Amino acid sequence: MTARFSVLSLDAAQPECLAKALAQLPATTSLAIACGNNREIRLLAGINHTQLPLVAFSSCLTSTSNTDVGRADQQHLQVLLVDDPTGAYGIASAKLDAANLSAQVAELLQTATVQANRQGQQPALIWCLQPPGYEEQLLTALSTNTGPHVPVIGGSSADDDINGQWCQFDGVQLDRDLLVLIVLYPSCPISWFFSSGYHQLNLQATVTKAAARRIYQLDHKPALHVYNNWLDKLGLPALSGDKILAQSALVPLGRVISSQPVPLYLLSHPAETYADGSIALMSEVTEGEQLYLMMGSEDALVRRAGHVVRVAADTLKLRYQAVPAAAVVFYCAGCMLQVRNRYHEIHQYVRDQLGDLPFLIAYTFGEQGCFADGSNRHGNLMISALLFGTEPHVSAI
Amino acid sequence: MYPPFDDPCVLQDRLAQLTHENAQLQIYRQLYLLQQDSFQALLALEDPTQVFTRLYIDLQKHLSFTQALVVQASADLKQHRLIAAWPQPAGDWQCPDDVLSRLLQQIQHFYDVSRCPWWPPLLRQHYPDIRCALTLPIPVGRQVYLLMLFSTQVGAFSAQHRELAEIVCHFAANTLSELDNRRLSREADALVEQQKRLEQSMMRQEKMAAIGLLTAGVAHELNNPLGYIYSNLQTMQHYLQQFEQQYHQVKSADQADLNALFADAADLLEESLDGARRARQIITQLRQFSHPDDSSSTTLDLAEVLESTLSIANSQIKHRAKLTVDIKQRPAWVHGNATRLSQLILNLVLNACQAVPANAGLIQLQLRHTQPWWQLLVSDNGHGISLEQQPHIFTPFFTTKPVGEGTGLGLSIGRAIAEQHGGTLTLEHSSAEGSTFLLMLPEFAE
Repeated sequence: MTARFSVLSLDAAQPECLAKALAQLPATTSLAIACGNNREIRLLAGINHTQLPLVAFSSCLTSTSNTDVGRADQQHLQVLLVDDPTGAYGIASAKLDAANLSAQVAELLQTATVQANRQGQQPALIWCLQPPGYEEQLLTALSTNTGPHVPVIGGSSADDDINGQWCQFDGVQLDRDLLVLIVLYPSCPISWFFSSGYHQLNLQATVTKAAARRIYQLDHKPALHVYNNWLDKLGLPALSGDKILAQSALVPLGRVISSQPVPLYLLSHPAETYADGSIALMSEVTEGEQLYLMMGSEDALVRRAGHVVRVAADTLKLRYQAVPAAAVVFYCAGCMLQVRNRYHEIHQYVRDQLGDLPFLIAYTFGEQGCFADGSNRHGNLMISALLFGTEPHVSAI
Repeated sequence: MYPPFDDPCVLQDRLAQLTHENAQLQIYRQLYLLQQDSFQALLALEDPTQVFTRLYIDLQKHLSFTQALVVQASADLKQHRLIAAWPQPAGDWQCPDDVLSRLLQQIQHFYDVSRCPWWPPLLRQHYPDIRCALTLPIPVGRQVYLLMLFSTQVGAFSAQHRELAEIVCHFAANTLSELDNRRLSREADALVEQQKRLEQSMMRQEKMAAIGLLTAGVAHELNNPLGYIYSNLQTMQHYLQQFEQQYHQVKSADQADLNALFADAADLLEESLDGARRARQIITQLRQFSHPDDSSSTTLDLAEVLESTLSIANSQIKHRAKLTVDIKQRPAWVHGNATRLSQLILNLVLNACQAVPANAGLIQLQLRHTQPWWQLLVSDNGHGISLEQQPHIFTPFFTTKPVGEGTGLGLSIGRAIAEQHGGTLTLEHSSAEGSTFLLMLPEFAE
């Protein structure tokens, strides 16, 4: 039997409505992943009595599906349902233990593979849900435990105003710092693509002093000084303060992670500046790395989701002669906030690629994905897409 | 609407994707070319171990693994053995049947076998350092092979590595199937040849048995003309002696006596020549019938073959049964071997003869044409064939005759001869009042 997918857009304004909708979810569901504003996730956690393998994570402001453009003033919960009787899926979760992450990941992987009845067997994909902050360490821990070849996809949970109200729900417990790992052994082909929507400017410097996500010096000068100097060259105002995410969203820092045949960029989003001239980023940099000033545009950001889905769909066709059956897109919340009045355009660009097929877009505070060169990365201002494929003649439920 | 290609980021993404896919395709292409080159060489190999050794070398060029081994198992998994390993495991190879059964069900890809509870301790003993494993079943006919690739690194194999290994295994399956097919074809050819020799031998034996059966009748047939030829020639000898004496001693011999002597001598000679011709005909027919190596096919008249055969058989039949022949149409052209068709008809007639009651037997033969067939019906008024026996009468060595009186090959060889000629031989009818056999042969149309 072929894997089947659907995305339900559930009314989460009233607990009764949501409870009724949850009770009607098909009992054969192999995996259910819900996404919505943190209010909606908390509501879900409060009333969930389903025995289905259901997990949820919060998205910034809203979330989008094939039938629901998504609006911050609406309380909707998008639920991706996977019905795959010949596939296998396993979920494991725990409160994220940053000091002991590798051992924790090993334990969670063991639990998830036991649940999937595939102990020791390589998953086709690992989907991770976690709070922002430790994504690089998480990817390292996953690589240590499963090797470098298992693609990882995910999005860091988000809230509406970066005040730490993001949350994850594993079907039983709700928390703001849960690490949820889902191992997928689907019976259908899958593909993915991970990309930024930015282009490199000819302004670059070497990181000469950094610690984790904080960058102190570029070319031995205060990082903020160098960064603002670059903005000045573009005619943009200098940035300072503890909340510069919105202003820096179209001018992030980027580094080349692979140069052949074309450069692949991983972006770091400046979040906060300090009096000592340092900048806090939303992802890690290391000393010795070459950073570029990257430039984006609203139009490019609006088109990106559709483009990333298109590339992933091409991969399905090229590699498996398959067509998309469903899609999940992790779209950077920072980018979304830049184009928040153009949800419908983002929605339409994705629909242009998928038609009426089910899809889900989550707006996240950090994206994890697998680049074309096979490496798993965490980046900011990125778009990561996962596509489930099917034989050309089978339609979605 | 698709994003415009003037967006450099879009172009870069597309290029990155296509370059990556192209790199994968290049690997597949190299592998394909490698396999294409080695296919003929592999087909020259006889032993699956040699095939896997060759494929191991190919696979090593594209996949980094630290150990590899190949297990051969019967389809029911009751037997299995290690046929190749690089390097050889320490100690005697063993794998529990339940594990092997599980591994042979489908491709298994382990990122870390130490996390798999059913990974057998025996395998851990053989290869204590392995972490990552890729196991691929390769079904080939009644055998199934299991290719196991190991690495000491956790998660050393990617999905692409697995696809590559799958391609190599498909190739191995095809190659081994082809080798299997060739071996089976050779065995089948040998069996066909053996069967042909056996059939020829059986036919000769049956023919000799028929000749043996005919010997008494033939001897009688030959004895009769030879008897009067001998007697006539003795008389002729006496006449000649008399003639010589009378010719020299009696000048005025009685002309009337001499005339009578000459007339009688002419009759004696004519009768003797006729007898000699009959004897020669019988001998010629017997020689034709018993010719051992005649397998040539010609266009022949089935009516003539029938009559010729009956003239041989008649000596055996005439004391036991009345024989009637009804040839509706002639010539009855068929394409075949006269000796073999004669043997077939003789078998049918002799069988009928043995089935009928002594001195009250009736054997009727009818040759008729029903386009596109010539049909020969051989009926007797014998005791019939029981319903229990009917399914077996065409089975070799089945006989109802006492031991030593029948080979049990007559009807089976008869059917084989009919089928060799594109025809059929069937029991048309059998009851207590008698039996009818139907021989159908395709007519020969120019």
